[in-house]
Amino acid sequence: MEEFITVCPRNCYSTCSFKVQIENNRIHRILPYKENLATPEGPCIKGLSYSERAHSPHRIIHPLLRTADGSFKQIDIDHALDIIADKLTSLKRTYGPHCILWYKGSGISGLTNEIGDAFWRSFGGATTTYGNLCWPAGLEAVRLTLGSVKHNAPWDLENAAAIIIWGKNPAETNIQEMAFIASAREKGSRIIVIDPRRTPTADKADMLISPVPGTDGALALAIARILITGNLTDKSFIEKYVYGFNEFSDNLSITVEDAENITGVPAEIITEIAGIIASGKPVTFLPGFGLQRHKNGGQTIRSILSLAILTGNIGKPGAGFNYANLQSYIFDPLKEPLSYYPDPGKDLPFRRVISMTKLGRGMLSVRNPELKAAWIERGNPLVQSPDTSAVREAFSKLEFKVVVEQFMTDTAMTADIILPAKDMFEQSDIVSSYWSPYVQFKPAVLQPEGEVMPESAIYYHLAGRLSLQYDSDQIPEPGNQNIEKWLERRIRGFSALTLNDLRNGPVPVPGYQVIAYGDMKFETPSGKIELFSASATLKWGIAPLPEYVPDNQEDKHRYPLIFITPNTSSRIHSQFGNLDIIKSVSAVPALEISPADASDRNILSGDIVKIFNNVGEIKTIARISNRVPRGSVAIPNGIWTNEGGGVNSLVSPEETDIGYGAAFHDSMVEVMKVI
Amino acid sequence: MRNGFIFDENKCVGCKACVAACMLENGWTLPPRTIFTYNSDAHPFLPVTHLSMACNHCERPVCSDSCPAKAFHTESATGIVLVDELKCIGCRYCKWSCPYDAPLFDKTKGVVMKCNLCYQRLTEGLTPACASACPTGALDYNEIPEIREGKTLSWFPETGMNPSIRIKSVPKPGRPVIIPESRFSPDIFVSDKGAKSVLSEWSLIGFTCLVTLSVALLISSFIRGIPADIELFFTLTLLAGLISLFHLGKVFRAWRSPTNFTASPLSREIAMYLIYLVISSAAVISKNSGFTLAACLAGLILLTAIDNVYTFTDKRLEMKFHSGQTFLTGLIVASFLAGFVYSFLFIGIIKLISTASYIARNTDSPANIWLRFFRIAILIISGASMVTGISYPEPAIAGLFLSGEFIDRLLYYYDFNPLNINTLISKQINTDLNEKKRG
Repeated sequence: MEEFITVCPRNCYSTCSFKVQIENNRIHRILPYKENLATPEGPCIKGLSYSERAHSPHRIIHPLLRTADGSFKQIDIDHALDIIADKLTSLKRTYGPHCILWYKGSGISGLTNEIGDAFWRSFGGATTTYGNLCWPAGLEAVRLTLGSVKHNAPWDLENAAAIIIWGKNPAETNIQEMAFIASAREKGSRIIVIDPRRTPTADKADMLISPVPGTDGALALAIARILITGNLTDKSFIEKYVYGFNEFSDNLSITVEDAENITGVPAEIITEIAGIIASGKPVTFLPGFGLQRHKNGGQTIRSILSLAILTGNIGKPGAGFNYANLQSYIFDPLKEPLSYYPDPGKDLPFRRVISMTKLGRGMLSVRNPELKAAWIERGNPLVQSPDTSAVREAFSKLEFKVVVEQFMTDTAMTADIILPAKDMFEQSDIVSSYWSPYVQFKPAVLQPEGEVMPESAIYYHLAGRLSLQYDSDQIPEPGNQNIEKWLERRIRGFSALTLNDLRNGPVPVPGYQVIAYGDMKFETPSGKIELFSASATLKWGIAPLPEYVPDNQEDKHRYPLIFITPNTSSRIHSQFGNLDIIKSVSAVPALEISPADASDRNILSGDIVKIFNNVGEIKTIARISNRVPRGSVAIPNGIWTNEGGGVNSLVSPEETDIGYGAAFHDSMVEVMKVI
Repeated sequence: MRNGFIFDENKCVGCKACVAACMLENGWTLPPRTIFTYNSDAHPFLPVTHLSMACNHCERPVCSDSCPAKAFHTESATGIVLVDELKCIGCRYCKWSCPYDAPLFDKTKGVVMKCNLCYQRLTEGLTPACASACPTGALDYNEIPEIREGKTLSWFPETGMNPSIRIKSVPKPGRPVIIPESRFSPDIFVSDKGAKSVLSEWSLIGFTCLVTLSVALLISSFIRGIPADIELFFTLTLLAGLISLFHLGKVFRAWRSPTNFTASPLSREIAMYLIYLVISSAAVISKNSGFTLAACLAGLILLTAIDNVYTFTDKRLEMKFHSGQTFLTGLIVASFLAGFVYSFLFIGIIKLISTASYIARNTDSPANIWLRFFRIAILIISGASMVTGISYPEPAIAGLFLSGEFIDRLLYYYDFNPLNINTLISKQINTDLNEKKRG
């Protein structure tokens, strides 16, 4: 039996290190790895499920070809690559390379993902997406204000005197953070959760504030006004480090009474929170991603961030605004969120772009050339894209679809050819984290199952068949040794790290700041923290100051319920929910509805209900729950259609104010019992 | 010092990583570890707290004592309490006895399974999978102080078993103050956990009823000096034994069941049944009055042993004086059959008081209350018939009387509620909610 240190490569804050024991090419055990200070107790339930996932009998381990009758037939990998190469050649010859959509999701992270870029570049380009479904409005908000996106090391949270968890639910989405919250609480720290739902995180708090979803910006700006009028700000901090304070304070128009009307939170409570934020010393804010998936998302994050700035809670132990910590993203030539919208002019003729958020309509509307084919890897857009029915329609119009997948997802089911995707244990890679400061090596510890081929090898073989010209550094020869050599070359020159350093376990990026911005250096145009951002107006056309932009729902009376589609502990978006171990320990996915709203509609727990609005409709099971407030319903995103999911078919494809994100959470619905 | 589980209530968010780790490590499809949640419905007036627990590998494990088949043993070196799959008869008496809800009945195998403390990991120097996997560090396995200090959780079952778990509870488990409260109330929802079905215990009901009838028949025939009907007697007595086998997951291991008669009330009951069967058969066949007297005594001891099976796990006083226990029922049926008015009235009054006091003390579901009134009415009619001689001893009144006693037995199973963590959680929630409402 052998034991390796590895890292979980999912799109998740924690990026846990763990040890994996291998016996006879099977995972024997998964154990915590204590030396990662952010995740010393090991991975969550999803990480534990890897021992099933890697060897699941439901894994696709041979290429599948769609036959004339619509069913799939197993073919060998050479045959599959031949078919794909022929098709790509003829499509490129007839329509040009932009008739192919190259769609990549966030299913697995690592530097080897870049090999796909190199392939499509040498292919002559492709249509790709811009923007990101997850978090860019918030990233851009933080970048505009602080110049970069980083925060204190996760373990510094223990030093906070007050923790404001605003729209984040780490108990389910970043569970290792709960250990630090628990320690802080033991030391006497006050824990305030601001969230429409009573989440498991809220169960650990002193206070749960439940504003109307989407109104967080108003709440924040009212608090800012109280801080300023009540003389509760850190004046010397503002004077030294903040740009645009006077403009900011002059334009604060939302009074505490206004905020009560908008958010539903009583005025005296808003004042009380302001007091806690002012007297905390230090206060750490833990904003989530959900609250920026609104059309006003960027401005909401800027508004909340202003509270940390006004009270001097930046650049100190126990303080900060922990939106994302990109300190370990050292290898990217262009860091998020900039990488979501690289200058297309510079990148021609390689890229033609359509919006990630408006994928379906974008695919249907592009011309010269129209889209004829799609290549989908690391993603499941038929579950995760807004306006899913439009995406489904666009897919159905394509001549040819290749999906690289591990399981028979909604997207894989539409493919013409499914190529079996690698498991995380089957190829070496290097993974960074957006929460902890570690760069980590993920070794190949299992021989690929069946005919599974990592994307890098797929691209290598296709490039050969297509006789593409490329720099051999960009698409390495198959074989994990070659991949490791490629990784070695890839990280050369970035700080002092070598692959050998990384082999011994996670390495904090040399020179990282435990206390982010501790040097009080801000890479903004003014060199200061920018409450007033001219770039915000220039780049995005929003007000230079944080402001609250209400979302006017025209159909509020027809669709009176706010549709919350959170992430849960049992899945990362559309991943993991299909595994037996996950199913056996988690509740059946269902629409959670408050007792009041359920009784208004004669709905009982277990009833089949229809959730609908002007965008779409799905059917699922209802569960009456005290965890959602009256006026909102909640069902996790990522549930496959065959499990009663597909929530994004109810979401209209609208972008966030900044950063090209998706405004998932502005949707309103009605729910009705299906008789 | 010995080793045990250390649980920190403050750190547990109920993520179930421990449950998954347990199943994955042992290749189990059933979860021997459970997250017990106080206020799982997230009632807005109350906090939500969790306790992750499997077998606590008690110093004095009641499962081991209660098991009639000696399927449990404690490894002396490690203190691990193990159940032997090959010895377990699948009677589930350990499930009744264990207040921590640790043993789990595997329907497909017909036997009970439970946490084995991952002994395979302990020998490798690892902690059990659950403790190792907890991502927040809420669950650990390490040296623990010999004695638990104080009461740590209001709903933790207190026993004299010294479970190997030490709980660090939240000092003041206030709920989060929820604002605005109007959006989380007033239509408060607490789910109905489902009424208990006594029908799942049909084989036990059948066994105890038939044995009670058999003993009553024997006693009444002894009193009246008329030999018991041989066919009726053997039908009752042998059918009882036969029906009881249906309760077992492993029928062909039934022979093991009397082996733990020194410790297990269930084992004693079965042993006593066999003794009664031998003596009473001899009595009925030989028609010897000495044998018959001995058989009557054995029968009464058997009925006491049966009642003891239940009061061993449900120690509440109301079960000891329950109207539906077999000893009282055996005596009243014998009195009825023998025409002993005074003893009938004496026992009848005890039963009436017991049932009436239950109605007075418990706010039950209406149907259940009416059943109890109905049962009282039958008893009064039967008594009146005996005293006045009207219709007594016609089959109709006998049938009515016996059906009343049968209802009593059903209610006994309905009321039977062994000390169990799930019950304690429900009780605590009711108590706390009432307190909030009053306060």
